[in-house]
Amino acid sequence: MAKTPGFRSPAIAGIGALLIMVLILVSVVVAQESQPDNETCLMCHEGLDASLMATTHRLTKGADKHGFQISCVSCHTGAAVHVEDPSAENIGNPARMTTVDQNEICSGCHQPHKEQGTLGFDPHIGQDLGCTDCHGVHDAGVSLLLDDDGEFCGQCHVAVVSGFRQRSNHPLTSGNISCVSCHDFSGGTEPLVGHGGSTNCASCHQELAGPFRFEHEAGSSFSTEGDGCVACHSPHGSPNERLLTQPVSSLCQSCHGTPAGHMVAHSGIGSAYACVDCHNAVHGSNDNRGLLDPQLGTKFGDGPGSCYCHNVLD
Amino acid sequence: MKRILWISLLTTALLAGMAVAGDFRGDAKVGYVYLDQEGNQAMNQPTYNLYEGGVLSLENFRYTWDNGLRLFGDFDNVTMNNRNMVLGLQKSGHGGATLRHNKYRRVYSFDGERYTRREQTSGQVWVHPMKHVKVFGGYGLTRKAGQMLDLLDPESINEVDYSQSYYNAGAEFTYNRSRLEVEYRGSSYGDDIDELRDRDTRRLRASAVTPVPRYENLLLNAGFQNYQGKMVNRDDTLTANTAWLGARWFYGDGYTVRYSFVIDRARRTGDVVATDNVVNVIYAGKTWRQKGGVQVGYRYRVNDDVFDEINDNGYVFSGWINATPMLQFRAGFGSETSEVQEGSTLTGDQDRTRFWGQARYRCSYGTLRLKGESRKTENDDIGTSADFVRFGTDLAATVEKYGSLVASYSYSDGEYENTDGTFTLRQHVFNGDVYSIEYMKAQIGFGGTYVRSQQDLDIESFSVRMSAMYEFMPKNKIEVIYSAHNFDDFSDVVGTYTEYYTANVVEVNLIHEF
Repeated sequence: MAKTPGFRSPAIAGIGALLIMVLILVSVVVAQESQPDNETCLMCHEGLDASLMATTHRLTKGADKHGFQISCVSCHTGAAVHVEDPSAENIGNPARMTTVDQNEICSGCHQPHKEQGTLGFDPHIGQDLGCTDCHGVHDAGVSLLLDDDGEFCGQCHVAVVSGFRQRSNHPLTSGNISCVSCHDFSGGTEPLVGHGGSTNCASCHQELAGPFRFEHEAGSSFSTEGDGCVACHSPHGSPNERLLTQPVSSLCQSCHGTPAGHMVAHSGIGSAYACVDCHNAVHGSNDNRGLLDPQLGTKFGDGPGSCYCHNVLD
Repeated sequence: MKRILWISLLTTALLAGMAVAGDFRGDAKVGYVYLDQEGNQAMNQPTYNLYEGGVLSLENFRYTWDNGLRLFGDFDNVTMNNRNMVLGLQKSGHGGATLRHNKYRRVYSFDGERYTRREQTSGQVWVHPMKHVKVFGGYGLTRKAGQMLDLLDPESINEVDYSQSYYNAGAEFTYNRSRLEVEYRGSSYGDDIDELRDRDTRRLRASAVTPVPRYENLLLNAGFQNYQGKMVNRDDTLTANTAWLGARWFYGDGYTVRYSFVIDRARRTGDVVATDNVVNVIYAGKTWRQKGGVQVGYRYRVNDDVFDEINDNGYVFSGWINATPMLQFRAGFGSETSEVQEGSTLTGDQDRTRFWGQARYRCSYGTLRLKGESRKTENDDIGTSADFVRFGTDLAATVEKYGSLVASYSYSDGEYENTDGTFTLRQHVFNGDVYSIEYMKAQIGFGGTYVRSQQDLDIESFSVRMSAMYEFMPKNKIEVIYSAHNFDDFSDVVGTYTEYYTANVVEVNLIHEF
């Protein structure tokens, strides 16, 4: 291995991870104080329980045998005082709280993304967005998201959603996928993307994932040469075909230029022909190092495996 | 066909159940789609999944039992080939099951005869055998088949036919704010065109997060993952081991510090050495409650094999301020430099910078946002750069007396330069919808989308939508939607001007609200 500074062994990191997992076993129990029951709340707030009926926050009638219970006071703090002196000021409403206070309440039952997101560059954390910026409780849908389509995320990410209206795009606006199909809010190792960008893409596009005998290094996020799929593709949408960031030859040339010999020997390859006319195995090849079309000889040359001067299967 | 029959029967059974039970919500929709299209069907992506014919949908279906059990479902276009369906049964704190089915296509040829269709079916089950324990597992199957056309040679057909299954099982242990999760996930990919592509993957992942006892403001996060991708019919395996550690510390009065460390080591069969990816990230922030906040971050990344080593140094600064209760500003700047420390890589050193800013005005009528960003990437060693600027604005407003409006506009300008030439692009994207309030039991809507790509491209596409809905009996509505689509690629690279498309679509729906 080449020498690099820092903590380099997965074994050492793994031991560290194990130690932290062990800490869970000794974490502290938080005491609960006595609170009014649901019936007391519903005497004044009649009908509010109906808005929870079809959601995961449906009120329970006391605790079950596991001790599981959902009541009004699970989310609304300060109820004991509020019962004595009913006022909008002395009851806790997570939707009106600051982010930190809101997280405290939601994390009583859920492991909020903010708590899990101690890794990476999750921009939502730094922007002081709280649970209720995206999630509703009363009258919310199944996933409790205020809405689960791209239009909802697009309220903040206007320019991103406009990308999905371009010539080629992932089918978001038609409802076939949603933002969370690719973006993992549960604390992946990469910012908002499940383990490694390319692995995430491969969950649907396995046919392009490799490993290949001859890799196109640009597409491998594991290698020193690669940025993964996004090196060439614009995943939301693109004015070019197949989500490419630039028209195809221009894209190839941005890293490769026009390699020596191509312009002279082929009377202007790069303008008369596109790179992928010959190098069509752009994701990787099991046939040849040049990522050339194994049928190239049949296509342009004088028979299978041979293209005039070149043995394609080298 | 058999599957459509099953789905229709299931939907009918649900509808029949609703008719006698009475304790439910949902919209049942029966309709018909008329489609009149002309031109290259591969050009206009929004119409790939429009089909002429009958439509049956059951949307936002909910049924609840007294014991807390909840059944929910969304069945969109069950009779169409762009089905999108979910069915679930849950009981909070006990468990649940979810079934999903999704099917859509991507058209490649002028006449629409060459296309690929992706079909995904999956199910997940989870139970809580004890209060702090959740056990989960699932299975999914994805199938894609059809014919693609070569990107630049419309005469060349590439067959696609593969299926991919995955399965997962795991357990989650939670206690107060602590959580430990272990999951095993495997997948199997089988390709009917080229069996050399057949591939199995497996992933074992364990992750945990916990506050430190007695120091609840200090939250620790850790995990480990082993990933293996193996080509079934040849000796080629990629193995990656990843471990991560993280900590977040809330200091009183709005101060936060976060640190993350990730190490990943990947090796392929035949590789002499492994490739390491090591990332260190530290963030510090201060929030003034409901007034504003600032954040500073630094990321150091090493990507290294025995031949090459690349170091990245990245910085980010961001902040937000509520100037008034209605007006908020956000802005940020990020920069990252990649330097080749040892060896040489094709793309050499790289500099990336990004600015962004946003202003938001929110009042009782709605919200108006203005947003801008600039990204620049430079690889001086190979004379390549990408310079991209984008501005966007959106408005969402509701006037109780008249109706609602949602509109957005995005402008982008990009210049991509390399030693052989420059590609430039300027693009405008408009989108908007207006809906009236319900008046005399009727409601109307109007909207459209316009996309214009200029400079080295010359593409124009637009769609116009008009809708009307009328409630003719209590809880029964008739809805008519007309939409027109148009696409033109004026640059005419092929020279035979085949890159145009136009369509008129009329949808008529009868909706019954339960």
